[in-house]
Amino acid sequence: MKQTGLTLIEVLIASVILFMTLGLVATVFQQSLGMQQRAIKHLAAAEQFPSLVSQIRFELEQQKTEGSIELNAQRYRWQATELKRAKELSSVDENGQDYLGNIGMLVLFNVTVTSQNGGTGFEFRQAIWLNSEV
Amino acid sequence: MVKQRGLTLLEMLVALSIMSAVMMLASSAYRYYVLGLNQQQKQLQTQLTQLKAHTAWQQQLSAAALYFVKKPELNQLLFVGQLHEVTWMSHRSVQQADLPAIAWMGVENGVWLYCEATLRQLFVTTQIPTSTQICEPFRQEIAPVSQLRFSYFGWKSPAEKYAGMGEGAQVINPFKPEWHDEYDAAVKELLPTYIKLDVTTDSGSNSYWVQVVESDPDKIRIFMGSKDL
Repeated sequence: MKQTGLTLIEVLIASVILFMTLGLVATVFQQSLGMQQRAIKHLAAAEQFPSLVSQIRFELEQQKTEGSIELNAQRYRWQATELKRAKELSSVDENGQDYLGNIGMLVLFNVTVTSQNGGTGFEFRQAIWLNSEV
Repeated sequence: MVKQRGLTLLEMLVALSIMSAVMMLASSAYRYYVLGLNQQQKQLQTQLTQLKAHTAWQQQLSAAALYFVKKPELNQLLFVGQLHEVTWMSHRSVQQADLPAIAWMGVENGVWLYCEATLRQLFVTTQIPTSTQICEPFRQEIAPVSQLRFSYFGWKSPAEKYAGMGEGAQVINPFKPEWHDEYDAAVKELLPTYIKLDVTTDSGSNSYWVQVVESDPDKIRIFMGSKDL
């Protein structure tokens, strides 16, 4: 009676295929885990956005252009760069010139918020009314 | 008879022990993975509910409305900002987005609470209802805290706020808004611009900031007609 088993090559090929599938499945699992971790981080950051934006807006109105904020054990640094400024046109005379003081000034800022300890940073634009002397 | 050669007992044992060791390792790794996944799922869930609760109160507070009630004889604004609690009227409600609601926020038995009653549930014309009345239709627990402390940033009076605004009066407003521990809109005749909330818990403290949209200076300029869009 002749017995035939698998040759070494066949066994090797079979095991390579097996490990390839296992590896593929493992990466899929790993990725879903990573995604969830990122989702949690983003949710934690999203919870802080409204408060951060309000506080930054307040400080911009107080004529600051940078600062740091600590919220829920997260440290943020923010910095505002001026993009554009326009005078408030309140009254126009017959020559099309503004004849009153022009005290109001609308300034558009680009605000970059960076996290100091591994959180999510973000960027937004904010227009602020300031006095033109500033 | 063909001689059949199988595995010896020793070979078999070695092979089995290797296999079981691998299996054990794999299964413990898998167990860790599943446990971690469960934990993460729970974390995600709590994070989501927390996000919902925090977004809700912040939105409600920033949607504070200029709502008048008839106190003894005059019409007065409803916004009672106190040191540890606040009662206000909001343009929308958590229960039903298109309905205005009277809302209250404060601490009750060590829990930070947000309460509201829509105008359908509690129509406010004269008396400002108490927190118990407001909390009856809807209450949301936000977090266990030991103290809430509100500060209100705003002008003292409309005269100070609008000084220097409007046609023909182009001077810099000599008055500045400032921080108040209490802000009763019935007295000030205004809503605060910003509300800062210091939350003290066992593990530390946090400061939340809310901008009241209704008193946005930008919006006021549109109302006053001095801003061309």
